[in-house]
Amino acid sequence: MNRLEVRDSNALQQQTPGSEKSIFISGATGFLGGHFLLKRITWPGRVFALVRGDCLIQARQRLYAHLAECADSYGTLLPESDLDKKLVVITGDITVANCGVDADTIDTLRKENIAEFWHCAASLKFEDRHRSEIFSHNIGGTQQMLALFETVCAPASSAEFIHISTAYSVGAAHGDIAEERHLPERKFNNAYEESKNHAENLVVDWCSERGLSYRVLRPSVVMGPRASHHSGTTRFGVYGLTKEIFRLRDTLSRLEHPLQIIGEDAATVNLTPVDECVYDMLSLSVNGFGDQRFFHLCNPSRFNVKQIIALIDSKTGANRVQMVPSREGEPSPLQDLFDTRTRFYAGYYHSDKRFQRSAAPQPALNWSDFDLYLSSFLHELRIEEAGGVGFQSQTVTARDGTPLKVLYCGDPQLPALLLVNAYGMPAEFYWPLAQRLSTHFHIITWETRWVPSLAHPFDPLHCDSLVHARDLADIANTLKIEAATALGWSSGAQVVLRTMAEFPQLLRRGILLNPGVSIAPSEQVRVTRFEAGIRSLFAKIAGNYRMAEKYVELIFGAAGADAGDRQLLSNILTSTDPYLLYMTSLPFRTPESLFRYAHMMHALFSEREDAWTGDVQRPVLVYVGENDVVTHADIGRALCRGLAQGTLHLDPEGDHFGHYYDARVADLVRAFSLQESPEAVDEV
Amino acid sequence: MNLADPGMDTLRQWLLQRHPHLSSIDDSLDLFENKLIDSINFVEYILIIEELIGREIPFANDLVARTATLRRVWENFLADAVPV
Repeated sequence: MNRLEVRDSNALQQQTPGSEKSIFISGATGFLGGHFLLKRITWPGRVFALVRGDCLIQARQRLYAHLAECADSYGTLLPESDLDKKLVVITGDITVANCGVDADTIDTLRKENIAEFWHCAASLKFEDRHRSEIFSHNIGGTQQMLALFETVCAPASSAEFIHISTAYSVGAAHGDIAEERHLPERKFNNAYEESKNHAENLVVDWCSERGLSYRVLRPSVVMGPRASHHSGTTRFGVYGLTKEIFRLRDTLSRLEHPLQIIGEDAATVNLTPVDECVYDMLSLSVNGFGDQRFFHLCNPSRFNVKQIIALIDSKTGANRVQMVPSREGEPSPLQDLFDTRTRFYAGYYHSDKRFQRSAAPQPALNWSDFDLYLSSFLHELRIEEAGGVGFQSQTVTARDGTPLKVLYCGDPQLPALLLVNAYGMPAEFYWPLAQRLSTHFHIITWETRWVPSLAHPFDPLHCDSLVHARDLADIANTLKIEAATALGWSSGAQVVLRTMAEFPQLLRRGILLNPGVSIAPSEQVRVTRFEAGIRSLFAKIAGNYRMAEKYVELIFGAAGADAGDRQLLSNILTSTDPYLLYMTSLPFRTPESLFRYAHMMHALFSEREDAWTGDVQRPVLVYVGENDVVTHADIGRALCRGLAQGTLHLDPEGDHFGHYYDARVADLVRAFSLQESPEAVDEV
Repeated sequence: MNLADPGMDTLRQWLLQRHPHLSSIDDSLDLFENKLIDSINFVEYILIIEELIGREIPFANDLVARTATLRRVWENFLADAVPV
């Protein structure tokens, strides 16, 4: 079938003119849920969308912004008239009782005679280290949605609970996969699959016991719209792996030995375009589900995984990743690290699943489609990269004449929030947090001098936090920012404290996320094994350029040159998240960048043992993730002891990179930054 | 019995400084298995050997095996080296 012959969901609507039913949906700010709502809203009947948010206005704005992105992926505009007329946004959260929906809203929903409850919401996290949160969202969230469904729709009603799962809830099975219940006693490739399987079984048991009707819809790996081959906003599945290799391409291309992914030559993956998936969903809704309970939303084509990897490798320009049946010899530290960071995908390198489907088949995807998807996505990534992700940029000249690349987003009329990056990390690290906060703040950050860009001259004798504090002050003065809040992550926390100490009139509040600062280790202040290691390592590298050269050679050059404690070297590259490996490894790419980075970190650790807290009078929030393996929670505690107005927030689930992927961190930052400060600026 | 050699003494001293709980290090002790060398100090260890032999040691697959004990360092690098 020609790729222009995408099935038209508008034609479905014409099959049943006059049919009007209201639906309830969760997960509309997600990928599939958003695309579904975008089409469904043009049909008759109201749509009640459960959306997380501080308030109705913010939740609605967030949903509209997401739907506009979805619409843009088809080259169309947001159907605002339909949305304004038929979309009812309900603020809530699937992780709390009755999804946080109040009694009045429940009454409204009861009167509306909701015909279908679409549960599209799921955790975006997929790594096993987030197991408890994945389970909480995917199983606990389903439980709450079922309870709400029961509350709203009396058992006697014919309303349907439609659970969006995944075709891969079948786990590590091979061969023909039937459209039937998959009992939970089976082997899974990862926590995500397992949670989705358990959620499916929960739906079946819960609804069966109460005489409620349910359907389980299982999309395979969802790609962007076939109509445009745009990614359609997702970064999951094939896109996630592609993005990882794209970001690592420069690092990978420096490797003497290719990275090897162990997989079967015959392994396949099923890809389904989101517009075809939405067509399937709408078709079932309009034509009825019949007696069938389980549905595979999949494509008749299966794509060979080895070929996919080869295409991604060549089109990203990495040319250093290959799929092999087995490896010889010991893996290099970088190989180990790559394996660890991409473990989620490993389950898909070994199986050939053939998903059976009773419905009429989707138009078959072919390699030309895949090539177009990949080209389009790489184009998106290059645009993001060139534009500092989604930030706007301008150059500000620091007092010493150094040009600084300043990045910003959000309305300049809103309160200013300055994001101070960890040494050596690109501004991209702050983009997810900036996005979450840009509706409330004018966000400003900048590319820290010296590393990762080597453009600025470097003086090893003058590379302490004061230089960065002055940069912050120069940026604030140039942009005429007054009484702002500054947020620093990891070593950026030291810069925030230094700025608050040196320029007390500049900042009204400070926020320190997982601080990596000059508090000295002691019996009361423990440091992580990682910090102990880098304190020692960077002192040595700073004193010996040759050591920087050797380290880069060790990381990039030698397969199997491990020193008995492979994990520690991996930890030096740090990162516990596959999306972050690229960014955290930047300072390690060349001897010069590593030499500079080592000097900067060594200088930081050599600064005042109270990390300047004794000179800071303003309120400071210290956030510490208790699962942080980079900086110890004791550092946060010690900072608070030294601060005049320090507030410690211990997050039992957080780790070093919480701000990157956890919306709760943004919520915390928002709440603290918008608090009124009783003490006026001129009192200090 | 440990070899008497200035280069070996340098390495022993360097290791003992980093592991003050040890009073001596046998030439046949596996430095990696016993966590005396890890990824943090491995590079420094190689650099010291390079200084002792006056030439660069490229990282290769067998480098860990060739430097796992002080005796192997002697056999593979120090024995034939011209003192520098």
